[in-house]
Amino acid sequence: MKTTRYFFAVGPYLLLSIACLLLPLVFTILPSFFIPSFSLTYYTDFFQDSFSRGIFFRSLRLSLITTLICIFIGLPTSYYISLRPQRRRQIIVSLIMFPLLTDAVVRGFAWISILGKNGMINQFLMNLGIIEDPLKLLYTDFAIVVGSVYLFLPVMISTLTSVMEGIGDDVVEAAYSLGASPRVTFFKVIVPLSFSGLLVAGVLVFSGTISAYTTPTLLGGNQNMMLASLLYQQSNTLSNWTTSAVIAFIMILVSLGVMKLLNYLASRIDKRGVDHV
Amino acid sequence: MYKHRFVTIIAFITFAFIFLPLILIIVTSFNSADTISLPLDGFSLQWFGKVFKSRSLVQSFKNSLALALVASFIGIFLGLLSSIALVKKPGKVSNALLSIFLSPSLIPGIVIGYVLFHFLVVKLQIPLLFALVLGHLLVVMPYCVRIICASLKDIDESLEEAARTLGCPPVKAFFLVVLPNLRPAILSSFMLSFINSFNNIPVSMYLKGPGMNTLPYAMMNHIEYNYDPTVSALSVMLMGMTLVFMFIMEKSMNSQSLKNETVRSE
Repeated sequence: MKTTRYFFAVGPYLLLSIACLLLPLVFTILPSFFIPSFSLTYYTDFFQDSFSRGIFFRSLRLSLITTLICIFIGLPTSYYISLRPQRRRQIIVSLIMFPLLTDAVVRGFAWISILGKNGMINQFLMNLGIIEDPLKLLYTDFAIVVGSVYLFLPVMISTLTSVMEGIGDDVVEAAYSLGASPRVTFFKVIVPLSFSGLLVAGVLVFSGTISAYTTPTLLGGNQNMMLASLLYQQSNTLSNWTTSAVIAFIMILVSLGVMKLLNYLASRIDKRGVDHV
Repeated sequence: MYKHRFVTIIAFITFAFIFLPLILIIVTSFNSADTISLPLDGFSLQWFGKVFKSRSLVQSFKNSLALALVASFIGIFLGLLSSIALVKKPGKVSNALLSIFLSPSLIPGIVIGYVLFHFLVVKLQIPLLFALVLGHLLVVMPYCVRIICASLKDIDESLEEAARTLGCPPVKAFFLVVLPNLRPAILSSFMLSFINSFNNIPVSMYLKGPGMNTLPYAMMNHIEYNYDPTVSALSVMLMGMTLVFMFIMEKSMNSQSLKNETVRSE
């Protein structure tokens, strides 16, 4: 292919990437480092302010909790799915992917109806007479975690299922014939062999949760902001350009940083020869 | 098969966790009570009627539909162009370009929305509608490039060569030999582009003009002010749309690649 033709073909997307991604990122974020000479003042301000620092650490904490819960629920569930016969396995995986393709607002709305003051859980508990006043479940960190787990569990399960499908029956048979119980086999054979998938899915869940806007906003409300809602509030409601740029850069740094870190870990593990996917 | 009681119990709890909320929405959308509550009062289709009576929901649905269609069509056309170039001329430049084209899926959506708004709208004063289309093009770009590129690499090159040696001109060979083989990839990248553009909130939120609301954002506003099963009914209709899409995608590509591509949709 001729060079001119090549650049003509990739041109539109290259132009789009430069004009709508690279330049906007540079022009928006660069000023946050200069007042007017190079300085990190805006960033130290961000971390010195207890409000924004609190949101930063809440975002990290909730994303971590979400990731861990997804791992703990995802591992056994994926193993269960990977043991089904092929046709049924495909159907289950498609069903699990279904929520992932529905609107995040729809999913958030479902959890509002369940966790809300007059929601399913409160109605149920009050009808049984277990509680007298409705519990505050919605607009809490708990609600954000539940919503985020709901959002990203399909990612975890589908990634782990495809890794576990690749684990040979012979390995499992070997464990059983050497006298390992199903539980020991699961923890000593299946889980370690799924580790690479666990890392990949873990990154996706973590970076997905920390950058999500819709779910934390719907389920966390104004009192329990995450970084994305803080960015929206600072930029759109308050037109606070430098603070917004600081938050934007921190969000990019965190999600790319986690990705790089876990890629590094994954490559280390591969080198040790545990790779089997 | 060995029995795994612990694994089975957790799996069933997980399935309940994943499907009960959606079932709840479906059930309450047909309920006649005007709050989202159980037990059910009686069967009614009034909430579906209410969706069509709400001007803001209907209008924003049309907007989202048009936007998603435009973004997906342009996205796929450009994705096809650049994928051909990237696959036909492998090398350092192509690799670098590929990672650039995939990069919007690595950056938080809200950051993309914000920097686009700040640069295109505030700094350059580009009309909002145009900025909105550009933003959505950016959203769909990774899906179009990744899926079409992967599929192009899989197509046996000798097919095209055979057509060429038999005297078929390059353009004709492309349309008669390569394009039909790309059909599944084009179809699935269209579906994923459409779904991701249609459901997108972070980019639309910043770039929607006063008269140009999109459906997810209109739904978010609706939930804030009225808490009734209208949104349930609308959700059921959207789920129906998703189901049709999934069915088409399942038909056109194996579930493995579908799984790999759907992971980042928020």
